[in-house]
Amino acid sequence: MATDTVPTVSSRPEPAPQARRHLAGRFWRHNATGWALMLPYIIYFSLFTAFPIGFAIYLSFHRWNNLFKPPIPHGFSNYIYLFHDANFWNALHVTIVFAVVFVVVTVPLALSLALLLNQALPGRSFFRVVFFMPYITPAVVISIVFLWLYQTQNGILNNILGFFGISPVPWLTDTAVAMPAISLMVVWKQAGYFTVIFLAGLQGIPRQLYEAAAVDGATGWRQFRDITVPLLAPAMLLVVVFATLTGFSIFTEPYILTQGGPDNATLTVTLYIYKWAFEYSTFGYASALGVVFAVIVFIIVAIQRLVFERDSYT
Amino acid sequence: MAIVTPTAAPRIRARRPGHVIGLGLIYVGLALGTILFLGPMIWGALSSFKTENQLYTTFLPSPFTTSAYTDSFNAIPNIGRVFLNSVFDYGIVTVGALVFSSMAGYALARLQFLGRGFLFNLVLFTMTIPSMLTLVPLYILIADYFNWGDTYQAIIAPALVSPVGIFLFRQFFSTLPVELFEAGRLDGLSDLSMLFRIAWPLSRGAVVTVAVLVFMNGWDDFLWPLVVEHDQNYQTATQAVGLFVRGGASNGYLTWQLAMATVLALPVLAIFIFGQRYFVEGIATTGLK
Repeated sequence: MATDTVPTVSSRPEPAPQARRHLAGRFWRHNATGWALMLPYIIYFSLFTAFPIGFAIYLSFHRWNNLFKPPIPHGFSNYIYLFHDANFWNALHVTIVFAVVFVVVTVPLALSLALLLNQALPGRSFFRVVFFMPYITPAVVISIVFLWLYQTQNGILNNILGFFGISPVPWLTDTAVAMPAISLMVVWKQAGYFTVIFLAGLQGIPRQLYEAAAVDGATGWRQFRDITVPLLAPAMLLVVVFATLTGFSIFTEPYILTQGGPDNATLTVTLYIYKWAFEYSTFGYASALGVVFAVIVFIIVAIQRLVFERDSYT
Repeated sequence: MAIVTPTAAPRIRARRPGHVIGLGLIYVGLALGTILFLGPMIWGALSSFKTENQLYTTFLPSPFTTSAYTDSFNAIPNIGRVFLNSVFDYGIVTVGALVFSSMAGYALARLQFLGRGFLFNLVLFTMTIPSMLTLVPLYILIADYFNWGDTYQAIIAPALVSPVGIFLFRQFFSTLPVELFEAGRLDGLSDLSMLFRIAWPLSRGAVVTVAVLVFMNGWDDFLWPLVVEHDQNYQTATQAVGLFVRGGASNGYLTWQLAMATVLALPVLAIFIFGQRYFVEGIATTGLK
């Protein structure tokens, strides 16, 4: 790597033709290091992000069921079929319900835990790690544990509920309960991560604000509403967006727990795309599904950003 | 060292009975939270040492038996190989991601060049793309065009750069004092040297965070290996265990499945506990823009 020279700062008149060549050389030297260091990312992005996105859009207008033959142009047929595909709309419904439940439960839970942890208690970092443990545990592991927890006949959860006189809940076998059950499991897994982010946001709020408000006679609730909430808006946006993305992308949990059943009650869009691509080998339609799905997610995230960035005080 | 400099809350001193009760309630809440968050996994791990009929009846195994472990290990051929595959694949991915992401993070934080702002926004954007969009074309690219189906590079190559890693390194490197790098420049060091000899030693927190994050996400990954690795010799541990549960090889024995799950979780848990001091702090900085 060539030594990067410190550019000399001096007033420069219009460069003469000969000087311009030197200038061009300086341009390259100045930028070359930056570009060279970015090169791995640029290659990675082009090959594994940009190209696939373009290719997905391209494929969505084709029919391709046999990889040994070229894809067949298919116009908008995939999209028309998608529009009428009841299974897709069902999967979208399942996914959106899951994502909504997930975000609505996770955000207050994570915020509450963060508020709890923001007290300067001894042992605080221990608890922080404890809440974080499910996050680093592989989804497959957690799914297996909850497969066992959620057993209808003998599962521990139903045993505990039985203690309180509640009859056994068919966690994974009832069409109405299955998706919320998976949702709660993913909340449990992810909460710690969002708690840590909220905690960092809370710790970034200067104490003087609270002290000044207390002097003015503001109670805890007023302080929370008028200081904490507005200043937490950037962290809130991040958490909501990431939680939404997480909610929309889950695959492993429904795959391991219910395989999309019972009766497609847990068939998320991700599972659905997987089925079309790798069980039915219909790559064109699977690509169209992916494109539509990505557009929907983009729109939702854009709306969230509008809502939160408008109210942000930063 | 912590990346975040928190505003220190004063040590809570309980002065009045109300204070003590409040403090007590907080600890009760935290204790309940601990049971809630650790309970299932501890119970699951304990249950893996039981016989099948005790799964639901007792808390502690009696007698304590490792039959679930031996039986399930025998039921999966290549089980050792599969774990080695995971370690190999994601070990390389982690090293690569550390090197390449820190390079990009350094460039974005410390260097001026044309397109810097654009590239940084691109990195942020990459972090929000739903993976299902690129799943099919990526599969075709890697398994069909490159013909890398059932190989190690199918898993390693697409993961060698981590956009989240770039973001974390960039944030962290921005906080390092400029004087260090000016001194380095005066000494004639190239940027690459400055990255690895000056920035890295000072960035233990960021390095540990990115390393744990990348390894954990890799180890955890189920969908991509499921898609590209069909030959048992190249499957990853997580993939094999997932298929074990869903594929019938476990004969419905939950003890076997719990045993496999416990073994699967141990490496990431160990790595996390090792690096948790840095890691949890590091994750916190993703929230600060």
